[in-house]
Amino acid sequence: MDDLLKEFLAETQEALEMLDSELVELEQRPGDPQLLGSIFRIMHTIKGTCGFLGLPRLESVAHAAEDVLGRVRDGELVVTPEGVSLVLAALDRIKELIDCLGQVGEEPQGSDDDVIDALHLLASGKSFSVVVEEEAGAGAFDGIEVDESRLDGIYKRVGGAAVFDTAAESACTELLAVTSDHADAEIEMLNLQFALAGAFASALSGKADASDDIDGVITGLLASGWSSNELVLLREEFGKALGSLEVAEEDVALVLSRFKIANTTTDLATDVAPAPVVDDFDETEEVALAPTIAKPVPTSVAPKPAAKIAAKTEEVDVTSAVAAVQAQPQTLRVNINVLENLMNMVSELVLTRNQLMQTLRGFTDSPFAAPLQRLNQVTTELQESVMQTRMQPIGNAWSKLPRLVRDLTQELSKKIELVMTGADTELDRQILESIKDPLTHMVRNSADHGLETPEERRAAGKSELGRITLNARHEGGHILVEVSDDGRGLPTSRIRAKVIQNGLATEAQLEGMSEQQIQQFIFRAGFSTASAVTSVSGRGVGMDVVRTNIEKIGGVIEFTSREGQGSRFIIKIPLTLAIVSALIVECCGERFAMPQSSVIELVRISKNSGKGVEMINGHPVYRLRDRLLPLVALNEMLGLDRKLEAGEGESSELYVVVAQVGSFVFGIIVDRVFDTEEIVVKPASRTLRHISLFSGTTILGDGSVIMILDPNGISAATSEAGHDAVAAEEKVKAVVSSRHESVSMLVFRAGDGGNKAVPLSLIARLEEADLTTAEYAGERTVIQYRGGLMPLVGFNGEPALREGKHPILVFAEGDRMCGLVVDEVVDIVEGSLDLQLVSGGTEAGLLGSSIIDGKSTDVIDTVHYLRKSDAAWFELHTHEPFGIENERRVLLVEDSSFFRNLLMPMLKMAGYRVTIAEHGEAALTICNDEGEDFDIIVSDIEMPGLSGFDLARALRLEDKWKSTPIVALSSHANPQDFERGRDAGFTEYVTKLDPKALLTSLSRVLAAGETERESAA
Amino acid sequence: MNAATNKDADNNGPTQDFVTMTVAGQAFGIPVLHVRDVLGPQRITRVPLAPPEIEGSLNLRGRIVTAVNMRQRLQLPKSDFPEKAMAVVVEYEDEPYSLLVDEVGEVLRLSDRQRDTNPATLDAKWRQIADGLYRLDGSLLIVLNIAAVLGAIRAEA
Repeated sequence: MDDLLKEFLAETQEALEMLDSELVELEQRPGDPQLLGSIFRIMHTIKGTCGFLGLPRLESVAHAAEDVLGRVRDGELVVTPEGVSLVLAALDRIKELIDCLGQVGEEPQGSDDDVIDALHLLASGKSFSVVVEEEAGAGAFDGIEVDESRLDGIYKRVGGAAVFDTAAESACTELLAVTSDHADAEIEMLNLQFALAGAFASALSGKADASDDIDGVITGLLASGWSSNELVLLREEFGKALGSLEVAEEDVALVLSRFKIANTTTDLATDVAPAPVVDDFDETEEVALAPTIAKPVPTSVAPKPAAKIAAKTEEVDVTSAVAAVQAQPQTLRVNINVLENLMNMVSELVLTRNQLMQTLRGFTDSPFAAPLQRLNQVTTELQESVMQTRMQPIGNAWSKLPRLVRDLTQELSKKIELVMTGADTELDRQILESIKDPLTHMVRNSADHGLETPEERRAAGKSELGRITLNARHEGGHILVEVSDDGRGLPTSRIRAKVIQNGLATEAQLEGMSEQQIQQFIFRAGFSTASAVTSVSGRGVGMDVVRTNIEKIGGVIEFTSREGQGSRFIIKIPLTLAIVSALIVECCGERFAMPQSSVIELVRISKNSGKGVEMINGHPVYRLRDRLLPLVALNEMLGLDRKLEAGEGESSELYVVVAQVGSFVFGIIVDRVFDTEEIVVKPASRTLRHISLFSGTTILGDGSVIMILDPNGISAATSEAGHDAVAAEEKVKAVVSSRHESVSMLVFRAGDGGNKAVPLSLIARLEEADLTTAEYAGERTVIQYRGGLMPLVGFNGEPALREGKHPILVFAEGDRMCGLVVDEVVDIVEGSLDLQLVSGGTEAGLLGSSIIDGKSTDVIDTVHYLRKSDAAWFELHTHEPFGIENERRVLLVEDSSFFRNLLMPMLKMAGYRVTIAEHGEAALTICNDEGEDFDIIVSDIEMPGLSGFDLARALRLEDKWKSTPIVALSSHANPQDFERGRDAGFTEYVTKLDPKALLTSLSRVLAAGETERESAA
Repeated sequence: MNAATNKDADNNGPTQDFVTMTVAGQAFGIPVLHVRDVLGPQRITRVPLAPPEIEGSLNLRGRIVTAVNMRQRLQLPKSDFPEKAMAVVVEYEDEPYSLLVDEVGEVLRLSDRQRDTNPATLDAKWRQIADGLYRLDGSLLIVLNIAAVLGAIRAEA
């Protein structure tokens, strides 16, 4: 009994969660018969089981709720929000009872009359609006209602739904024993058992039209190929089963009579009520079933509208139930501990496999090689399967949300729509458990604080219905979960004010931060104080807890918000925690594992290159491309001593693991970097768990134990270093901005011998290849490169000659690549880009000349070569030479770093002072908050977040930027785009692939602007 | 292994079996049923920032075992030959720990008659981890209380 009860509790809890969300769905789609059928079935099962287990309180509440649902299903009541609320209230009561049952083992004392009475009132049609009554069927129902009292008596005498369920079950089992020629006989039986019990229960409990239920079941059986003999048998067994359940013989007969009457209802109902008691069993069967077998179809299409509707619903019900059974995967309930154990064992197996593989790597022709290969394969498959068992759709974590939102809707009197996509995205159940609460919290927050009231929304010109969107999807070994709303958003200025007020950062520190960084402050512990509730629209309450929970499972959470347009949380979580890919690094002779997911890249710093680690206020930093990277030394963090002070001096290089935690990117200095390895994460021993720098331990393939570094912990420890770190970051920013003018150039030799240069940032990679292995592709020379074909061009712009070994500069944009074959790579030089224009016409392929390292160097135009390599890349032609403008201030808004790097030198060369914004939001900040002044703004159209159009519109709203020329950059330019651009406030529309055309139009626009101003003056 | 308590043939009263070990010359015993394994010298991975008693972690047939340096735990001077340390593996709160000792001796069956309570003069630190002692011929064997030895490390951490 105890086990039975446990199983009941588990099942019912799941069922209740399902009911919760399905009921809310029903409210939105009241006419869905499948949904209704499913809800009804679940409720019915709960009721039936409660009765069987002797839980009167639960049973009566469930019964009352089922009654209401039954009437809705039969089309007698329509779904209203009040009605749904009432049923939900009943569910809540059931939940309470179940909870208590789970704790104490028995139902608590008390009365549920309040809920039940309300439901009864509802069922009797007094508060749900009653459907326009069926006229034609009225008489027929009267006929049945005559003996309703008696039938009701039987129902009670017999012992209620529980008895019918049991009887149907044993009848079906018996039947299964005799006939097994049906495919899926067992499933069919279960289904039948259920349908039968339900039909009888509702028929005899006095449902006016419920005799059609039995009729429906029988019709359904016949339709699915049951023979009449089997039906007779079923009826017989059902009677026997009832008899064995100590139901009085005459009651059994009465019950069985319904079996017969059901088939002929249509005939009988029109004239008289059925004769209730039939004495002769066997005869009845024959008589009863004969008409059904003879003409089952006419029976069900009886010419009575009401009955037809009922029969129809029932049919749908039966078919959908059958469909559901077929679609349902065969499942088995397994204790979580068993799964965990299995997982552990598989982990061990994986480790042992790794060890074996490593041991055998040295022996080329070992007799173990083949079996080991097989073992390897099987282990991998086993591991995947076991991981699969732990995977659950994220929808499970969402199941409570529709109900939550619905309740909030009523509580807050807001109109909220919850849109959920990607609910079937699967992830590890351990992770699922840990994101459940944060997600709930965020949705609650969005509904409570994010969305406005209908009045406010109307005033803001939005639709009254606020929307909360939940979206989950896979992305490269991670799951991205987005929670967004279209509410009032949280303006950065207010976060800023709050941050300063709470002393989380100084104004100066905030100055140096991007909008993105400032928005992340809502996750800081000190942010969510009581006063924050009122002054920052309550957003951020408990967000630090949410962040902590997410980060605990190796996840990352980010927040973005646009005032008036809504907020968005993005959570990035790993698929699983148990087995992860890790980078093995060494520090002071000890090895550590670093989860690959947080490693962005590896940098080797050679001390001889002259470009080493620099110190700011005692903190090491490194210039990595266009940004400064704060560094931490792993040995200092871990308190490890370098074994040989002298040894360090000897090693001329060091490795930096660039890691990212949230939006914080930093470098970890290590001594060596090994391979990546799949590791099984094991929790650290209790005695070590307090060390925040480690997230666990693991065993490597060679059998040694190593600690797993926790990037979150390291990042936290870095910031704990206090204000110094922040200060260092400040200076980093300063350095970065002052560095705007200086550019790394790659100097190479090609063509006629003179030095050529190209901005390093435009080069994706440097390669060397033997061109004799190159191939033809039409006119072009191509080589196979990274699984694709890469066109090669020579310095003269022609397809490269297929001879000799040459260095190749690889330019890439998106998935397109092009290789420029050069003679020799000379050096990488840090220099300012003071380009002198090529005088007298443009030489193909050159942007101009610059003095680099004291030598005149030609700076090449990468676009020229890209175009040569692949005409489709840029279908453009250069135009006339451009005019020179002196010291014009240009704001270049462009999200693609490729184009930024392409355009910036061009613009600089043409005499503009260029400021870069990497996206629309940043541009707005620069323009409005930082008080910069620009003569012209050049903006890309397609950007993540704020698009070029939005940016132009926003800028045009400000007085300061009303008349500043804004030039749109786009990769495709058609008349519609042009029109749209003008509407948004753009002055000009230029395709971005032609830098020279851009310069031309810039100078034209500026000149036009000046003329205008002059004439106005 | 059978029950730890036996009726000895010599009729010396109830007895218990102990795995004996020495740390800096002092003999210690752990009830045989608590000992999961006895290992020779192992490759131990240092764990930076760990409590000083924790020598590191080692791999015992796929399980990660935390190694506790008993000399450090008992506040005795460091061993001259740490690389020769033997390991006695015990389980505490479902986690395996390996106690690093100088030597592991034989298993002794000791009569309760030989047992004594902790002498009052015993150092307070030692008294916490000692579960009484046995008078052997020519030496004394201190019974280690695993929970006290390992629990305190956690408490400090």
